Amino acid sequence: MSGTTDMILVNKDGKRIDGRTPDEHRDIKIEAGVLANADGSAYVEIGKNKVLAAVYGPRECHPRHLQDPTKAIIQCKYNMQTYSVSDRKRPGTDRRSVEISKITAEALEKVVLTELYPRASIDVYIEILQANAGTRCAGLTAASVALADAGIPMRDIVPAIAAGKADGYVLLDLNKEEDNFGQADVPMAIVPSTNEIVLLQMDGNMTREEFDKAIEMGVRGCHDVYKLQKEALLNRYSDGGDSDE
Amino acid sequence: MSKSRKVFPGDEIAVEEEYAASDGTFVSDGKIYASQIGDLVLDDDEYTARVESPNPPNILKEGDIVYAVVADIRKTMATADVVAKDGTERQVGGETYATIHVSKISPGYTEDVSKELRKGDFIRARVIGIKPSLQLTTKEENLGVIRALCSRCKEEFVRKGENRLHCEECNYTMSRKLADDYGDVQI
Repeated sequence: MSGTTDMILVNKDGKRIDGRTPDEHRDIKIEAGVLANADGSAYVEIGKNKVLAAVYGPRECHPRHLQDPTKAIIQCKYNMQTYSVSDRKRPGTDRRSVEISKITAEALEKVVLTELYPRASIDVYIEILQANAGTRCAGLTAASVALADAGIPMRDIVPAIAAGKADGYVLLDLNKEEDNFGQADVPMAIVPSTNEIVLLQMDGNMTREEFDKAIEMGVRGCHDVYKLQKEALLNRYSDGGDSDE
Repeated sequence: MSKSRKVFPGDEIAVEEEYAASDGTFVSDGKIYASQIGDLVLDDDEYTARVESPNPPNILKEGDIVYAVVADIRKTMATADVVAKDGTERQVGGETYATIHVSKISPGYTEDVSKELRKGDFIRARVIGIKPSLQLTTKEENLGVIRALCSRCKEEFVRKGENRLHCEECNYTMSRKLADDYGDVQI
C-alpha cells in the first residue's frame, strides 16, 4: 500500500509472483504443543511467516485492578523479534504491536468461555520470528490453536487470513510484495461454525464489489485454515502424547 | 458408558433432550457443543455428555489436596496462598487466596491459631469450600505443616514429638499442627 513498483504483481493469466492463483493461500504448516513450559502452544508457518504462540492460564490476574469479578480477561502480547524483518526492528512495544495485541485479544474473547473463570487471566503471547505480510492473521491462527491446546473452554477455534487487492485483482493471503505495492489489505478472522466475523480491518481502498468479493474469499480461506488447525490439534493428541511433555 | 471419539471446540455433540451438558461442553439453542478438545463421553447411565480433555485447566474443587504457604494468622482463622495442587504440574487457575478457620485446623479444640500454624509455614491441606471464597482444612492426619522455619533464627525446624517442632540451632521449641510425614516430604 505504501509504495509503487513496476513489478507485475498479477500477470495476464491471473498468476501471482509466487505462482499462486488469486484465490489461493500460501502453504500453511501448523503444529500444536511445541513448548513444554507453556500450558498450551502452537507454531504456525504461513508462507515465509513464522509465528510462535504460547498460552498460560487461566491464572490469577496481575495487575489486580484488571480483574473482572464476572469473567476472565484475555491479555495478549504480540511481539516482533528484531530479526523478523529485513531492516532490524527496534525491540519492544510500539503502536502497531499494541493495536494488534488489542484486536487479537478481542477476537479471542468472542470465543473463549471467559465467564467460567471469574477474576482470572488468560495470557496469550505471540512471537513473530519471521514476517512476510499477514503476521496478525498468522498470530491469531496460532493463538487460537494454542488456546485449544491449553484445554481452555471455547465456542470455536478462530482461523484468520487476509484478503486484499493488487494490480486491480482481488487476492487472498497477500505476500509482502502484494501488501507493499498493492491497493488494499483486509485481514479478517471468523468463527467457523457461524461465519461470524470477529476481526476485520482494512488498509487501502476498494470498491464495494471488490470488498464483498474479498470477504467471500476470506471466509473461504478461513475455513481452509480451520481445517489445518483441527488437523494440527488432532496430530498433537492422537499419537499417544497426552497432556504436557 | 458409551462410545468415545475425538471432538474439537465448537463440535455439536448432542441435544439437550438426550443428555445433560457436563464438563468441557456448552449449550446453545438447545444443542450441546464441545468447548474443549478431547474424548467425547456420552454417559447413558447418568445421561450426561462431557468431554475429557487431555490437558485441562487446573481449577480447584472441593476435595482437592493442595500445597499452600500461610500468609497471615488472625484470631479465628489463618490465611494462606495456594501454590500447587497435588498430582498436577500445571499452575493453579482462579482463586489462590484461601482461609483456614480455627475449627478446621486440628481434630481437637484449638484455642490459639498461632499454636497450630505460623506465617511462612508450608502446609498440605484439603479444599472444603470454593464459594464464596476458598476454604481449606488441615484436620486429617497427613494434612498440616510439612515445612517450617524457626521463628528466631530461620533454621529449618526438626520434628520432636507428635505436634512439636525443635530448632537445633537455637534450641527453640514450638507447637504446630504437623502432617504425619513432616520432614520427609518429596515434592
